[in-house]
Amino acid sequence: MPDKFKFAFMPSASCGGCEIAIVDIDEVILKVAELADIVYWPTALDFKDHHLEALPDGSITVGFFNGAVRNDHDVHHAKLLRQKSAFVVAFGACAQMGGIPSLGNFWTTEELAHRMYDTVPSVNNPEGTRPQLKYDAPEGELTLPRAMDRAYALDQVIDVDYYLPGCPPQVKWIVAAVEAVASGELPPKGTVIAGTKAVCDECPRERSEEKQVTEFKRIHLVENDPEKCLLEQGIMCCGPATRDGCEAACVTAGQACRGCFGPTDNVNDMGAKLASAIASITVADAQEEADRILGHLDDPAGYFYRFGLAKSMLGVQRGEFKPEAE
Amino acid sequence: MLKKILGQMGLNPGRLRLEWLSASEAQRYAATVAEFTDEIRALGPIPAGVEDAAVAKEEVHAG
Amino acid sequence: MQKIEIDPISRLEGHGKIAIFLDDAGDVAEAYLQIPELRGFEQFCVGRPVEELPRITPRICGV
Repeated sequence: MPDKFKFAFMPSASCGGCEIAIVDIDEVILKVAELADIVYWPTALDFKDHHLEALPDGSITVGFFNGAVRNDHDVHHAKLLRQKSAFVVAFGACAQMGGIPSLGNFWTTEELAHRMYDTVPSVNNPEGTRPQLKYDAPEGELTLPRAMDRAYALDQVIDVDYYLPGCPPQVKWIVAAVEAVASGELPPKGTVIAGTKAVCDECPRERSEEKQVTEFKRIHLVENDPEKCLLEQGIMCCGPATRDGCEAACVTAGQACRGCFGPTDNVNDMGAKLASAIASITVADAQEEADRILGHLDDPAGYFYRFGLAKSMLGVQRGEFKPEAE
Repeated sequence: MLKKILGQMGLNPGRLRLEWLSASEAQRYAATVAEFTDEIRALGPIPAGVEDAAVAKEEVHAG
Repeated sequence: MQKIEIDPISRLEGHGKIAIFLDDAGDVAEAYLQIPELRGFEQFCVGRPVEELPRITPRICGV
């Protein structure tokens, strides 16, 4: 190894949990420090944009990008990181597929802003003041980034080499990624650094051959049997479509999977796969009966695309139809 | 459930229809398809995607 | 008038930007703190089942 590698960690529309996950690797961070110089990580160290801009193009070995791409400043950051990095890793569910912030894609940005600045109970804004992209303060001009019409996944904006899934990514996969860089044995481009099967394959709960559900129930309304498959107990679980590698963490803790690792390799659209999985275990003789059973899933799109609405093939169309719930 | 998802995704649930027909019901089959085709025609193309496409082209894929 | 812009504010989660304006004597005339981020939790939690919120709202800040 001639030189030390260079790593950069770029946050965008995120919660900071991904950055905590990096620190969570504990003493492995020392190995990272031995292996690489961190050249940009504003969440943890005092870096400014001009530090990143001053680096030669392609000089960063791996640029880790966490968070969804929500405004034009994020777009600028994404492109800048791409320009400066040999490899870009979409780090965490938001960068991989939009994550929780992409749930906002159910609404227009104007609707989100209206709620935030006008109608939230804790807001008192009778004059309807809104953040302005440009403001001429007496002392000079101030600017803000422009929020785009929706949240995008990183690969909808720039070319992405690898994906580290999860909300947040699991320590063992971060370590695996660092080790891959250290050894020089890189997987093919586009690889999602995690398991290759579904969460169900890792899940310790017992499944019967024939899943049959005659009633879907909300998780707090049942006392769930910790030994038995949640879906078989009528509790909505995203395990069948979700990539494994988390050791079924949520399910082991008594909560249903919500799909933060994203779809497995052979699933194109998480929602479509889950809809088909749910339909195939629902036992009904007549359409009315099926409607009644499935009617108990109050928020199917919210379950199926909890972490990945930005990557939904259907996309959210606006202007044609507004469900009453909204 | 699919209709509910379509609604949540901002699409008119009327764009999806499920009918059970037997192979011997040729006339009903033809009538159902014709009827649904008319319904979809009346709904017209999905109006959205416009704002989205503009942003995607202009800002997202520009570089 | 001289302007010092600190962007991003580092060593914290979330996005912040500070603009400081200095007068001719080099003293601070005015300082502005800006929060340049919009995600929309206030709106997109609406319509989600209440028992799901403990798994959505932690993503406001994960630190």
